[in-house]
Amino acid sequence: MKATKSIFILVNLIFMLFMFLTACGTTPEDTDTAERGADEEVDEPTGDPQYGGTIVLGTSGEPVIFNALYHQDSASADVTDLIFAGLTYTDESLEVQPHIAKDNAEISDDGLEWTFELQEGVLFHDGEELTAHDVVFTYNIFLHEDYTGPRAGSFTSLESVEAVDDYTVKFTLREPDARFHTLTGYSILPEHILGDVPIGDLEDYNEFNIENPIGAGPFKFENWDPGQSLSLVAHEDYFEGRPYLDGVTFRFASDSNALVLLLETGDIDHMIAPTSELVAIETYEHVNLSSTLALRYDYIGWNLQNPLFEDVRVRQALTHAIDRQEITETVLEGQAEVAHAPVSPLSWAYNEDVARFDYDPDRALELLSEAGWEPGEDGILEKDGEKFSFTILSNDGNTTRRDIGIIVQQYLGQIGIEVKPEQMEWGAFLDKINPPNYDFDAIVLAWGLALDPDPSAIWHSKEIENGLNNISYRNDRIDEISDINTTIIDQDERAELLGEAWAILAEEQPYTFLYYPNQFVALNRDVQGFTHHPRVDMYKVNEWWLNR
Amino acid sequence: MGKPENNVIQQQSDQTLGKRRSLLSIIVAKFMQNKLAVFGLFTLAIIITACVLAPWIAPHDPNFQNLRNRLAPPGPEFWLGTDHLGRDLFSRLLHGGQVSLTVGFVAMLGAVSIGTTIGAIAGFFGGRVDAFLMRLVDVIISFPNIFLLITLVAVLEPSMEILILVFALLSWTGTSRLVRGEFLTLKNREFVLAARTIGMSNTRIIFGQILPSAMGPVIVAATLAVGGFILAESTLSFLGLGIQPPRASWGNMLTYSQSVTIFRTAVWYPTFPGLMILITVLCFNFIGDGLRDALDPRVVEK
Repeated sequence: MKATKSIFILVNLIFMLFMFLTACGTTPEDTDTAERGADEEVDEPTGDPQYGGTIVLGTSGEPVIFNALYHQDSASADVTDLIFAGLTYTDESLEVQPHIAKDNAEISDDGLEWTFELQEGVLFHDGEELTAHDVVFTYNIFLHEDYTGPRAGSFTSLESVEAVDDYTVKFTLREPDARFHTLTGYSILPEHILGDVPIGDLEDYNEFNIENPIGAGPFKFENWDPGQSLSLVAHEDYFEGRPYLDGVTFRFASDSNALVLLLETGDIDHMIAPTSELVAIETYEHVNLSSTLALRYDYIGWNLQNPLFEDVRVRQALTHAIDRQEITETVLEGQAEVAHAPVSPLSWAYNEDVARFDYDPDRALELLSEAGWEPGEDGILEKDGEKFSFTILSNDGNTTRRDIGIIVQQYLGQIGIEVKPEQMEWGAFLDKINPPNYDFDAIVLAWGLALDPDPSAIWHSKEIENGLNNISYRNDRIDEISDINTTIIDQDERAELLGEAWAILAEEQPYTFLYYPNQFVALNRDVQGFTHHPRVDMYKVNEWWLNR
Repeated sequence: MGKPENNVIQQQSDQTLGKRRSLLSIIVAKFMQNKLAVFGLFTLAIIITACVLAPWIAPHDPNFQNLRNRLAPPGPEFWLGTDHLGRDLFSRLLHGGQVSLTVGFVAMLGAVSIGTTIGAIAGFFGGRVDAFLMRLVDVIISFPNIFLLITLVAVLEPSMEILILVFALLSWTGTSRLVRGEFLTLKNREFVLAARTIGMSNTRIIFGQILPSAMGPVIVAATLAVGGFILAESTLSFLGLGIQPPRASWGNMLTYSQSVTIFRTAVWYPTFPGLMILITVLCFNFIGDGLRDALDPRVVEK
């Protein structure tokens, strides 16, 4: 349960993302879209970066807390990513790179001791230097028994962290942990400000968390006017050099329509663009679109506690009956790839060699018939006098998921399955589908994936009771792979083992894996130096500059 | 209503069939003089007929999606174009109209029945009964209507039946006040006294004697209410709390068309359901105004 929680912070982030129809990601190369970039977008007035100007970012999500040890939503993460800096970061090819650390960790032969050398002269916004003691302070919070945030589960393998000297920090693990390098990027908090706050009170310590967060990141917190805007200004002494921008302002709007209109009028310079609005955004001459495959997949989850979905043949039939290719080509405007397994093609652990259940309604009927479902008098499939009829649930505010519910209703209606699409408010929706309620038949949802491909959080049977395995999937081999994969340090060996897990999951179809979507970022043409990251929206903003 | 005129109507309606017809013909004649009202009635008749006959008129299955033909412009095959899932807009408008009009009329009937009954009882009996019922009305009116609607519909799970029920249960207060007012002025009239004298029961006096005289304003209010309910249904459906997909209603068609891209590239999609709501509600308002003039004897004199 603990391990689950850590990863699922990330998952929660994703939830938020989906809610606002946004995802994260961008192509590193340029700001043109792969296929839909307007032809005349050859501009790119490249030149030397210049200092000055404030960029306005449009978003519909309001942040909650500016402390990466506690936040659980993407809006807060976007802000903290700018205010704080960590030992490492994950680059756009999803490789872990040193940040405050001089180099990647030096790992002892037994894999248990990770030593980082820190850069000297890294300053917090208040002018104090960031040292190994701040790192130790930060990571000890995760290990503290009073820690109230959601990330303790990520650090189960961490035994202790200590400062060897002012610029050297050593992590000691209990057992080898292949995920650990992805955990070294957390925001470093200033010990000189928070050192006296009891760990149990830290989450509610609003003087820091909300009113005046101090980090070592490229931008300083200035002002937050809830519902309106949030402004950050450049950190003059940022250790990688002062950001080109003078400031970054987040402008909050009610929904994506409002954002698109603000983009059109030039009131905002940047937004995550929903696929459904690309056609309109493409017509704006002052806007460039950037796209990249997002580190996420969308799916329909079948509640395995419901006897309807118990039989694997039934689940395979359901996938056969849904034309995912058509959905990606039409509703998603071709900006997605059909998914077959719960792993992103971006991941090193991706396995292409899994069972596929392409659109084939005849095969679907065969499978259903084998499973005992035959058409009744009204054309609806029946078995033992029970009709094949269920509700497919999604959260409101997400038009793509709403439409998928309606589309699936038609696809499954064609083979005699009665589907009722329903939508619910986000909070109520999560409450209904998650433990201890499990009150759904099928859901349309998506996972934004953690950087490490460990499947435990979503698929391990121990996560049914209190974790993210809310469809109650249970498979002994998957449990076993989940348990041992993080102890295998060799990536190829681990990829092979995980590949087996993906193949099992693809065969068993506890989800109908829908697609891997592209994420689009709409940027004012004046914004230069942008790098599109598949998972992090506020990526290297210190390198952005305005050509104005 | 002025007092003397009411007497006139009452006497006439109590008399021979021939004279009643002449009263009706006066009303009809007055109504026909109001060109807007006649236009409204005519247009509405067309809309209602088309919606009632939707299963036979509609050229396509209103819920059939053709994803490869999304947001097609109006043309020979899809007269008014298609929506974002490739469904025929014309067919959806007709079927959606059925839903919107049904909600409007049935909710109106419910609200007017409740309102008339309660208003009649309060006005006729007066005293504590009146005080109690009118305080009940005050309580219901003092809830902010739209929020109460949203809350109730959300709690009860949205469906057409729930919408109608909620509308009817929350919207009878205006009618009840109106009817109560009429009863207060009418209950001491001579014809009521006469009815009492010959030993008529209260029920018969209320429903047989006074109510027919009070029907004029009720009919007007009811007509206007239909338009109001259609708007309310659209509002709730627009907010996702009304008619649920894939079933169409004019309100939820507007919701689905809510996108900058659709406004730019498929402007017919939001336009048609919007126009249907506008025209229908306008027609009900014209007719209501026309009826008010026709039923109000004072207008005759002008």
